[in-house]
Amino acid sequence: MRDGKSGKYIIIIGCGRLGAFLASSLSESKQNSVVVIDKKEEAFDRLGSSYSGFTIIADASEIETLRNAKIQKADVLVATTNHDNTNIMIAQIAKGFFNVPKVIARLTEPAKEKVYSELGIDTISPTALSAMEFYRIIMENGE
Amino acid sequence: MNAKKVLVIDDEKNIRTLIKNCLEGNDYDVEIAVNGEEGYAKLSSEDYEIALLDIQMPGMSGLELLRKIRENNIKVDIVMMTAYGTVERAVEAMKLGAIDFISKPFTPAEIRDIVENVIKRRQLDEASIESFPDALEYAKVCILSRDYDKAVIYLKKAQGMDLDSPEPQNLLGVIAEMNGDVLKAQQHYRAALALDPTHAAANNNLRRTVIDGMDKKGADLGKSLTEKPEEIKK
Repeated sequence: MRDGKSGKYIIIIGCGRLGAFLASSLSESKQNSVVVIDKKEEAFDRLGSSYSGFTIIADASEIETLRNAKIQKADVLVATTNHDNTNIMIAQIAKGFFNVPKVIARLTEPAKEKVYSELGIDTISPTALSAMEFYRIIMENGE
Repeated sequence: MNAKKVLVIDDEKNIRTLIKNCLEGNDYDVEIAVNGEEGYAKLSSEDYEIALLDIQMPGMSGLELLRKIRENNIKVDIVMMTAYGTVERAVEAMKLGAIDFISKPFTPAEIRDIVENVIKRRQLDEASIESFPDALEYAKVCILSRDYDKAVIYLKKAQGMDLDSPEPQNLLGVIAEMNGDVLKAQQHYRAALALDPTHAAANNNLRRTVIDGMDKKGADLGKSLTEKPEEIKK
């Protein structure tokens, strides 16, 4: 995509439930190339048999790992580990150092969102999202 | 135009699917083989324009298959797919006659470009070489097929077309090295660096020949049209 052709190159950090689900869905969309990075090999068991992409067993907080994953060619990077600070660090490297066009980080603590938005990094906070959904359902039923 | 036949040989299902998805619909007819044995059976019974071959497979490895293909004179352009950051074995594969290599993971554009370029490279016939990049590419093809004399002719041509480019000097150095003349090779690498002090491939080659002595392993042909030069590891 960075060269204008179709098919995105997507790097996902962390193969937990969220990362694995996202990787599987993205790789099912044809012509995308997806790379998932996780420190533990067992984590990749979460990827379903339909997953068509790469897996790398390594520590993504090492720049060398990101280089091996060809981050300089990535269209999108998603940091989905359990640790907000790890996610923000990797997202910052991706955005500031490698100029990845779209960087999204998972955020467990919604209060930190401001820090990210100032750095130009999109965030998804599963906590806030589910709270809002709960709220919506409760209010709908309450009428 | 007929769809070009591509064979993907990889033991990992996800990689086979990925490549198939990326190439299909672009005038390619992609077939797959799940291991070296099946790959060999397909290659010896049908004609393919290009085969993408995983270097690391259980059973018959990619290099073993490559050797077998060459021993039995099967005409097909082979692109090796290498694991994360292992360039050394790719270089070994190039010596065995693979035309190019791509390192995993790769982007959709990379896989399309490499297949396109390899097919284009083969169609490049000698008479039509008029530009500097064509002459350089053709010289690389000659080096890879170990036709050094012809490579030298086209490198001289390339030099005539672009006097300021360090690439031909670097490749002349590689050829001198292959012929066993390490001093001459170093002269060429230095000449390349005189033209462009930042030329990474020439820098690597010079360092390699000076520091590591006579070690042809890892000769750096410089960047291809599709990929940035890989760092040569010792």
